[in-house]
Amino acid sequence: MLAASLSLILVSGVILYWIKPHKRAWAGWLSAMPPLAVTVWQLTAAIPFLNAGAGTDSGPKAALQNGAILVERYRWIESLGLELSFRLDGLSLLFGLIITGVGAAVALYTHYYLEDDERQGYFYLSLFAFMASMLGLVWADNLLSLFVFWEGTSVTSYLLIGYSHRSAVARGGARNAFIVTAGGGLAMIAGLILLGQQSGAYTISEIVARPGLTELDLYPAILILILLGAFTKSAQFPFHWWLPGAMAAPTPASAYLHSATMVKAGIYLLARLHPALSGHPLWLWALLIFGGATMLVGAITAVRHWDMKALLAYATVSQLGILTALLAFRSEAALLAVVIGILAHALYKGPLFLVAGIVDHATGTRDLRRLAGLRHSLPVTSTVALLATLSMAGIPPFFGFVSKEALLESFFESAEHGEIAGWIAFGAAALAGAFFVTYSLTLLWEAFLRPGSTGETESSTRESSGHVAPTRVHHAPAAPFVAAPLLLVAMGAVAPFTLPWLDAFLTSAAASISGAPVHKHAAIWHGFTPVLLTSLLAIAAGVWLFRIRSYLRRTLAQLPENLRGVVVFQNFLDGIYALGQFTARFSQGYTLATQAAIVLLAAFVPVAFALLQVAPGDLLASSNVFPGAPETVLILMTVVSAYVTVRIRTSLGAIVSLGVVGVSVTLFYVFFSAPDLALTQLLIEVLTVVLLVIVFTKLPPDIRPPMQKLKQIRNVLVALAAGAFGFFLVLFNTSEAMQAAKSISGYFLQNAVPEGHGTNVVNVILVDFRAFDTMGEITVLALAALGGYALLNAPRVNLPSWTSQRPESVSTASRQNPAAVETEPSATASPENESEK
Amino acid sequence: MDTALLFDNAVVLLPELVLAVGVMVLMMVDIGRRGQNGSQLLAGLSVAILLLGIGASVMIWGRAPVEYLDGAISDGFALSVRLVILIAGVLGVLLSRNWFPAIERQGGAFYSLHLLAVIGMMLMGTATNLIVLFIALEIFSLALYILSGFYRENARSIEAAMKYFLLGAFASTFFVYGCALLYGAGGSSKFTQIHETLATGGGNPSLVLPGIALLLVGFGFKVSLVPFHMWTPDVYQGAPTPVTAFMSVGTKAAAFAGFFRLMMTALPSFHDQWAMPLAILAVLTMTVGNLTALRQSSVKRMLAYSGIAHAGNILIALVAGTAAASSAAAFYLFAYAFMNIGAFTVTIALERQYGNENDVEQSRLAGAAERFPVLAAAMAIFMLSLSGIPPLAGFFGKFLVFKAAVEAGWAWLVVIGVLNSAVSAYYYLRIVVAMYFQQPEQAGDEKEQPFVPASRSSVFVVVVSVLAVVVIGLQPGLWADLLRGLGQ
Repeated sequence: MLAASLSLILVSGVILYWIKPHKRAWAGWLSAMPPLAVTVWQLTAAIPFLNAGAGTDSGPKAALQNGAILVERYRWIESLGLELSFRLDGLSLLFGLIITGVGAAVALYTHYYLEDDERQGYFYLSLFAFMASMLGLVWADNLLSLFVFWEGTSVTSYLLIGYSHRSAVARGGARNAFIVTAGGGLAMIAGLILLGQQSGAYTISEIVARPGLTELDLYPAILILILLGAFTKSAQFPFHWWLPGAMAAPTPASAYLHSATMVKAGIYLLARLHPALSGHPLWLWALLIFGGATMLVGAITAVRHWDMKALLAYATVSQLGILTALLAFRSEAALLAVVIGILAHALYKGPLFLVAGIVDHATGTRDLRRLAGLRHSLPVTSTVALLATLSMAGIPPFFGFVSKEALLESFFESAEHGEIAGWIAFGAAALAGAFFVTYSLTLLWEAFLRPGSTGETESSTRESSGHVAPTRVHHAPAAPFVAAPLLLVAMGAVAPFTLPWLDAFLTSAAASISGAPVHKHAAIWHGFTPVLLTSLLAIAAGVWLFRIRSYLRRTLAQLPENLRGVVVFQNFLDGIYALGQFTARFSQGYTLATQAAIVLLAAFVPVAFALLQVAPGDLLASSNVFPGAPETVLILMTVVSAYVTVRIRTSLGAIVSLGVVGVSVTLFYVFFSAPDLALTQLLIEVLTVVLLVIVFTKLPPDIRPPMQKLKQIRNVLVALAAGAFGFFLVLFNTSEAMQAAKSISGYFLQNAVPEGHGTNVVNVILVDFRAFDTMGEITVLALAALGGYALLNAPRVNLPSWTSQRPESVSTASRQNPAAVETEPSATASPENESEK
Repeated sequence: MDTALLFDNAVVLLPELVLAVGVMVLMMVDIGRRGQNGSQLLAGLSVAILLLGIGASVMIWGRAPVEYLDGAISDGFALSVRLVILIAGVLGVLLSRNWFPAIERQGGAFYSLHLLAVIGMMLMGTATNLIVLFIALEIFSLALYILSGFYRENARSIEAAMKYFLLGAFASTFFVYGCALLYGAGGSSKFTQIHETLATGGGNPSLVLPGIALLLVGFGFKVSLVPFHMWTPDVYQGAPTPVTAFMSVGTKAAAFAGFFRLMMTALPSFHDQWAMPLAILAVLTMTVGNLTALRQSSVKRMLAYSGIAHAGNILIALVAGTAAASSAAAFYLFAYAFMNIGAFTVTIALERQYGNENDVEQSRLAGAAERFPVLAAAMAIFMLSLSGIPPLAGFFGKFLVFKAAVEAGWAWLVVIGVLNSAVSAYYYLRIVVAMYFQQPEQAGDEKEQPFVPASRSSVFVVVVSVLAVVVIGLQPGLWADLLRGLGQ
């Protein structure tokens, strides 16, 4: 059923694309059906399980250890023991319900938000593909399939954020979001592979049940890599800035991806691996420090923003920080607070985003400076906003309050146990709580409650006045448009009073996170405790901060620009780019001669290193290495003709002198009594020279221009290096150590008569022992002769038009015109003007 | 020597033999044809021969590995690599069919060389002997030198062939010298024999390291490892694009196959000595390849540098040096064949659209999605696959390689590989962004150009590649079971 549900969602996306939903009034309702069906199915599957008391001591044992509501396995990569397995347990049920429940509301809403937009079908397609990936992510029970769906959400969210692709802001936001999340995902896959390899299993439920993972030597590496993935996805400091940037997405996508689902994927991963990886100081402090920093940075930054969506985005960042900090701890209270926090957040932040979308749709702006008094013009929407913001502010008796109490209490509990970490978390959460109140009130007051068009007095700090305060609603929202957020917020409002019924659901999710039964219960009222006092103080502080908000905004606006994450990231990208420019300059744009020199020199390095490993004794030559008189003459001849080859200015002359070098080498073989080798070499040399001469008679005559001094010096050095290299290798080969190997001549001398019935050993070798070799050689000679014949009869070479216009040959052209050849490759490599920036 | 030996086990080389006979038939047919007629027949014939080769490989698939005359073996690894090369060969022929002006006249020469290159590459994967290895290397290299200069009307093409040939000749020199030293070290040219001699304390172990270093230069040149990579972008850009597509995959598959077999069957006892230098080369190759690819404005050069980076990834598998790693490399190459040839095919189709002869500038891709929705979608899939986004084929290639490397204890190398993948995602994505999200600069005159339909065979190649990339990605298990590594 799990796999079937995924397919259902995917297929519905395709169908919605195909029916052109922007032309059909009923498409909104239709689109809500598939996610709703999956929600209902999950509930029916889960209720018997939850009623059986999953997550408590009395519940079935299986439900705690390895048990789940449902497990499905499919063949995948059998040779590696990887299965495509899905598993529905308390935690994935929590996420699954949010994904499909909020998904249904968002799907309905989308139809009205993208009214008459002809690309609505495309949006639905991406949205449902995202929904399927997200569901797969939380249902996956295998590290690799989890990663596949994880990257699936990155790609589909890229499509959703970049939906308005004509706008450079949307493109930039989409790009940044993708690079950060997909890059983090890549780090994560390394961590997951390490985890799988170290724990010996790729099935998550097996890994989680395995003790002692925190004692592994590689635990820090695994943790850091996985945290990189989780932190980037869940917008933790210092990666938090991509989330506000991604607000260029159409609002339904923001509501869905950037508050309810995708940004929680990192939280989900941390929760999922909590039993296996928590309980190490590194885990505690990494999550606490980054979570704490995130909640404060998000909360404080949220206050300064005028754009409703930006404000909500930073508020989301802050909430994600709180969830991360909670996961740092192992206490039941903390884990239960995570579960409540996730649910509460989905139920108030989702509607708030949707409200922002309705306001935008109705008035044409989301700017708080230009909005006022919406409670008159959009009464229902304002009610939704009121309920949701009160919940966000943590005012009793809203669900947000329950969530805040649970979290403060859990931190306080840790603090009471004398953990310094608990105190830090408690302080940070209380401070963040105050800011929650501040921006909730700001949002509520400035957009909805404050009377009339008094925007100018507030906004005079930044923008010149003169805006017409468009509280005028020129586009009243349709009923289903408002129904979507209304339904969600109503659920959030009712939730605190149904906690006894929700309890089984919440504790089974918390039990999945902790890996053991959870005895703690959620409650709306904890009595008069220090926590409640703190909570009330935080509300008071929040109200006070609300009163001085214009001062806060001014102060925050003065922070230097280049502290902003986007700017830092852009600088980082530019840095990588500059590095690319550096490597590009050093690895391309060379002439052939330079390339050859580099290859030669690069080749010497490993060989030189390898030679250094050789014992110096091995380099002692075996026999007399000093040349006699004939050899000395030959060496001189070789050197002189090699010099002539290099210096002579005509190609024909170079060929001839090169031939002399070859013949001198041949004569060496003669002196060292290898006549057959000498004969072969001589034939080859003569043939080569003849063929080359023939070729060059077909070409126009050429004179090489003199070489530049610097190049000459370089070439000399390269040649010397090559010579030294050859010298040492030969010395090495002729050394005593090498000569120790058994010579094969004895074999032929012994076997020539008995096997080959001949006394001329060389003959026997040629026609008997190596008869096939000889045949091959003859064939090669015959073919070479045929080739020579064909060459003699060939017509003049048909050179490309650009060379026939100039009399020089190809090689001269490039040398005479260094500018033409040398700059050409570098021109193609020139830095591309980044039009995306 | 008993002549019967010549024919025993010759079935090992059945695919190569089929192709060799095919080349001769092809040349005969070429002699028989008149003027410019029948070049399509030659193309069809080449495809048929290559398909026969695939059939022959399938026929001997799953047999117990036997060795032919101490020189070649057809084990699972050899067959896997053969399959990759034959597929690249078929796709390459299909792409070349209508591409050249010269192919009408010289189709016989072109297709024969193409098939010869395929034979050499396949031999490289089967070679169990230094001599066979070197001959195989030369067979395909010489053929490719000529093929890259086949677009003789284009100066870049000639320059490419010239560069490739001269630098390749250097590399071959080093390579053959390395072979000689290894022969000296192990007293045999046979891989397993070298291993046995050295492992039992015989031979000349001091020759091994210089030998490996020299061979490394040769292999490094062929698979384009940094710093032996400089020819790659120039040759990829200059060579006719169908040839580039074919050789970017074929050369890599063949040279890596030979490299793997040599290092893992002849020199496994020296793994400690060669693994670290290779790891350093892998880091250099990935990093320089990816960073330089960021700065390319030409699509072909970008793909060339991306190919260099991919070579670095595959090298990670060799560093790991386990059987699982070699099968991961086979899978990687298999996936790479489709996504890379696919990307080059789209490039060819776009070349036709934009009227350039042999390359496309990235800046011209702006708005391509609106003009050529199908091509753009295909290109997007290839780019995503090349950057390793699941669930496409490229991801599983990377995953399997990285997994094998982690299991062999090379976690740090994998982390660097993963970081590099992040960099690579950036330039692959840029192509997608340009096609989908950007407006052409001079919208007016772009639109006026008539739409040039892509040739039927290149449409076929694109379709096959897209299907393969998606199917391999969705069903990786099927292929991971099929493609074998060394000693599996």
